[in-house]
Amino acid sequence: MTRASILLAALGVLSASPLPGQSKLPLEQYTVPNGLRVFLVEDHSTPLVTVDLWYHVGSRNEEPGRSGFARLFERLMFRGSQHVASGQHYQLVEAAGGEVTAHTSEDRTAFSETLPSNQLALGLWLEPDRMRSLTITEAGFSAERESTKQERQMRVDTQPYGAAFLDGMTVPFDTATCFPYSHSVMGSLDDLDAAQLEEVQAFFKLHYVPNNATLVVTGDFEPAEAKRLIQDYFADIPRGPPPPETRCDVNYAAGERTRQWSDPLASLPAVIVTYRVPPHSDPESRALQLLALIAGQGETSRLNRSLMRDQRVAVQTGSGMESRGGPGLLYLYAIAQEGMGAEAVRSSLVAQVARLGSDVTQVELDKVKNQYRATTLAGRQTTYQMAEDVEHVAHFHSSTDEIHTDIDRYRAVTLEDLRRAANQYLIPANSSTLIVAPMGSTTPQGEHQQEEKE
Amino acid sequence: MMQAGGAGKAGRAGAAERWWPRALTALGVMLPGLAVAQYPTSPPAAGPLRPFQLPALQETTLANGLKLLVIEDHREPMVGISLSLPAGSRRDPVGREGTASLLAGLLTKGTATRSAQQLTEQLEQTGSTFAADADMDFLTLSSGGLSEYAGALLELLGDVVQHPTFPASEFESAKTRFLSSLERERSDTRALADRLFIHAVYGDHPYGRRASVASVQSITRDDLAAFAATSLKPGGTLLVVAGDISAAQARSLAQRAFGSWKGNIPAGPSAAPAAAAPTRFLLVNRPGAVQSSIVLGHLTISPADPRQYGLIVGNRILGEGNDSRLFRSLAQEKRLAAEAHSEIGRRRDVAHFLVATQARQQSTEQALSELGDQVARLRTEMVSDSELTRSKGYLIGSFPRQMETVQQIASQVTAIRQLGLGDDYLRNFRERVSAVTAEGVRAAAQAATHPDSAIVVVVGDGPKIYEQIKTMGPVDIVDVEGKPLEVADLAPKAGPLNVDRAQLVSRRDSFIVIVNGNPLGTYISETVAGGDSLTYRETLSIPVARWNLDTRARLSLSDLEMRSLDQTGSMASQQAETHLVFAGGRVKGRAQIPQPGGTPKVGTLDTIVAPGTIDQGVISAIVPGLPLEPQTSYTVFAFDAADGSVKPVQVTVTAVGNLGVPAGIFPVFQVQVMGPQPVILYITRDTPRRIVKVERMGQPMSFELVK
Repeated sequence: MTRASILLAALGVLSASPLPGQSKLPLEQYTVPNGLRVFLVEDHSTPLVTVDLWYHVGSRNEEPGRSGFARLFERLMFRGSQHVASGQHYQLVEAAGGEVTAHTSEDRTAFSETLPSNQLALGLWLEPDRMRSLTITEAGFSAERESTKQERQMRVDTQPYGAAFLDGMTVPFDTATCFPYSHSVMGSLDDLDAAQLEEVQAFFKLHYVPNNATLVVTGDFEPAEAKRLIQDYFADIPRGPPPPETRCDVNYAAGERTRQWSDPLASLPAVIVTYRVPPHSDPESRALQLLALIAGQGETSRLNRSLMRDQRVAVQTGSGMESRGGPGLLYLYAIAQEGMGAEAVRSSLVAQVARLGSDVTQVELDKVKNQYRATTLAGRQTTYQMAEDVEHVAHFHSSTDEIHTDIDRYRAVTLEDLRRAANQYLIPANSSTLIVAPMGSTTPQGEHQQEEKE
Repeated sequence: MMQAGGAGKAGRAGAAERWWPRALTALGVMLPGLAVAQYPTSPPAAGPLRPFQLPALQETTLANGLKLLVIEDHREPMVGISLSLPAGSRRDPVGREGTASLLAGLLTKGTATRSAQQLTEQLEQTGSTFAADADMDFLTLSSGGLSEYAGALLELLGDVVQHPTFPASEFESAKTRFLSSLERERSDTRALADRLFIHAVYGDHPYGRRASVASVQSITRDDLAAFAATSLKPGGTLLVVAGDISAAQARSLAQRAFGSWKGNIPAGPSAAPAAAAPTRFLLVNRPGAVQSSIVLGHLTISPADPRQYGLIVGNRILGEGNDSRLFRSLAQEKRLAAEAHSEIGRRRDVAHFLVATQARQQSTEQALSELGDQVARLRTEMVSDSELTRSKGYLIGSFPRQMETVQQIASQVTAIRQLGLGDDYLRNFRERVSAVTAEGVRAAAQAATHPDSAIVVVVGDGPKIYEQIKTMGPVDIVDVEGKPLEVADLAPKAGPLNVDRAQLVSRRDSFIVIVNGNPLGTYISETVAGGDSLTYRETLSIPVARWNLDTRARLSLSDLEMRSLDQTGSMASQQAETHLVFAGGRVKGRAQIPQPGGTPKVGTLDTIVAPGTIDQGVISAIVPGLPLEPQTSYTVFAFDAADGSVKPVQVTVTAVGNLGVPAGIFPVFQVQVMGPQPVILYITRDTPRRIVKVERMGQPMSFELVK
């Protein structure tokens, strides 16, 4: 670094200096004959390994009237298999000093074990044992169905704005043309009550098969050893028939939608505005993700500065993007100041969205690129996040090689890219607005629950 | 490849054997796998530990005394920075405890050349993180981000430690936040037990001092400036930079950012900690508490003692996690407690060891003996092989998970330097733990634990707990404020209330309900003195919370004995309904009481009550009639329909002054009422007294008199 550039850096203005390209990971990939795709990333800097297994099944694969199955299986997977007793999965990993994760989205269900590197075999044995021989009994099924209900109660029904943020996010998609994204990952409790054990078992048999899964191993291991263990533990699990494709037809200019929600737990009105965005593999999704950061992430974001600091119409604001295998959502929200009506907040919010198509500055773009890059790189120093990132690319990008170029692609986004994406997707005709009214209060739009205006 | 080999063999074999290889061939490439290794039917064993390749520490000292440690790690273009000054809360001026913590939170709220907003903008613009925190010994600033901004980050750190301005508005709001967190802590029995334990175990050593409401209230901006002027200095300070940066570059950037900083941090106050003595008890009276918070512990071996590895392994077996002896014994098998654990408190000068639990009130004595027995068992018996394996497996396996990112590496290196553990600690930790034997655990427990000369703090229902522990050792009793009490003070003394009837006249008062600063409802209280009865009615309405409560009570006017109480209403979706009749020394009736986030509690009640016991619903009607004077305190016995018990409610006049409310400005007593729902009442000093303001403690809710 030159003296001048040190000075610029010290002043915090040096932002787009030429930097070396993204570091290239030693990524090795192959497919086991039963269809299991394997990715190995060898990195000996810390004596840890992560075994990360993603099944390409999520709530999008559920049938109408049978929602909630994917999320249910995230739990059932810990209720034991041929050689592992119920709950023992956690105990074995804990006693090894490791950590277990499991999560479900619309598109996939993810399981991981992060372990000290001398315990690689344990992780590579626990996952196939449940893939080949998961125990699915009536008792386990009904216990996990109850846990799901309790979770819904604790995390959604007893949290202010909880229902609007969960169920409201499905409003932009229509059941008739896009069932995969028009219901929530948590599913319907009625559907779970109506489900039969045989249906649950059939769902497992169809989706939790090696040819519908990807395995990533990252960290401190010898590739030959990992390959041998994968061969020994996974290779004899039979391939299943290819799971059926899902279908979602979406119109990115379907006309404005507004829904009213009465929330007995909320004390202040809130407004959530969502816009449909194209699948993650679409090049425009990078610009849209950066726009979501510019709009509502951090104290210096546009919503925070305008709605909270300058206009004082909101007590909390935020934004984010659900980028998916199929169409996703960019959302922005604000919770009103005491005494502010929902309409005042809504109009301030959409006025900010309208400006995203015209006056974003290079300084703002540089800021969110820095934030994106710093967050992503901080994650990639851990075996767990590295594994998750490889899985993400394998599932949602057009080529797995993009793990070598994904950050650079974000750094290449221009102001013109932002304008084009905003003017195409962040438009009133593509929006769905959720107005959350505290129950008992009156709003200009009336008091009817879930009233629809199209 | 295998198919070819198989076919070749088949070709040379006789016809009768020919189908064999072909059948095997059909199984394809998995054949060799099956042939060499059976699929294991039990979890595969761990292999030998693989080496930990921690990069070298490169150490230099700048001319001003600032020590710089660089750990080069070029995996990704990131840096982690930690600046750690021996300026922790042990240096807080006496009576101003909390100064260092307050200062840490205000460092990024303004410097001589940058506003709080500019500092935030710079951090966000570069995608960087920042945090500052003071513990007993150290004030530590941590930051991280992209390595191209390493210079900017170091410059920002240099600015905030050298030129902080503590702007008045930021100072006041930080102080308010600190005070409200301390207020919340007062109603948290676990926090209270910890605080009093630390105070007792360290005695006069600075570690024994903790921030309190009074000490934080007395801190001024000048105190922060004085602390900064004395204690924020480069001599004695450690800067750790880990990540994608060369040692030379880090040094030159550090020189730029910190080179003009001058001075040394003087030695901090110290004193001998409390000397070991036979086990003694501190009972903290919290009348009516259904759980007892217990902490038993003492000072222990230093973190640099070679036996610490045995202690760390033993501590996990004893009390870390749901698989530990304490949790299994107290919470699962004997069901004495909801939770139980042990911990080692490592500090620079001296460390402590403790075991703690939240026991059911009735099980306090049993829980105490179980805690002592479990510690004693670690000293006398060998731990089992399986316990030793699980404990070591967890400690060794989880250790590297704290050392993955450059930010984590910078914090870990800082922590071992702060504790004086030696630079090989991180490199050798796993091997040292691995080498611990059952005998080593027992030897460490014998050196590090001594339940016979411990401090035992019990926070709970005083009268009931005193009976359980009085034979176990000397017992000192205090109230939740730490004020000493006599055993006699614990006994409930119900009797006719000493109330001045002249203060209780017919009237109707209207209040507004203020939640988080917003007017959200109404509260009306009405007293009618007529015939032989005093009728009290109270109506609370908060529409946005769907909260409506109507209370109607009758007392005899001559002796203020309760006759009846009827309460109806709703909170959100839950219905409240209580009907009680007080007669013949008993209270009978039924109660349905809303519970936070759940279903209402329903019960039928029939209990003996002493004369002079009132329902807690009429406390506000009675308190103005007590002979209120500055610094006086009374106990009122109140029936709590929620659990059918009578609880002593402490009523204390804490201050006098003038208070403005919408109805006007009044000379008032400030009266603290410590019942099941603690409140502060502001009551006029002029006769007849009336309440002009009610504050709910621990909740952002108050009622203010309108007319």
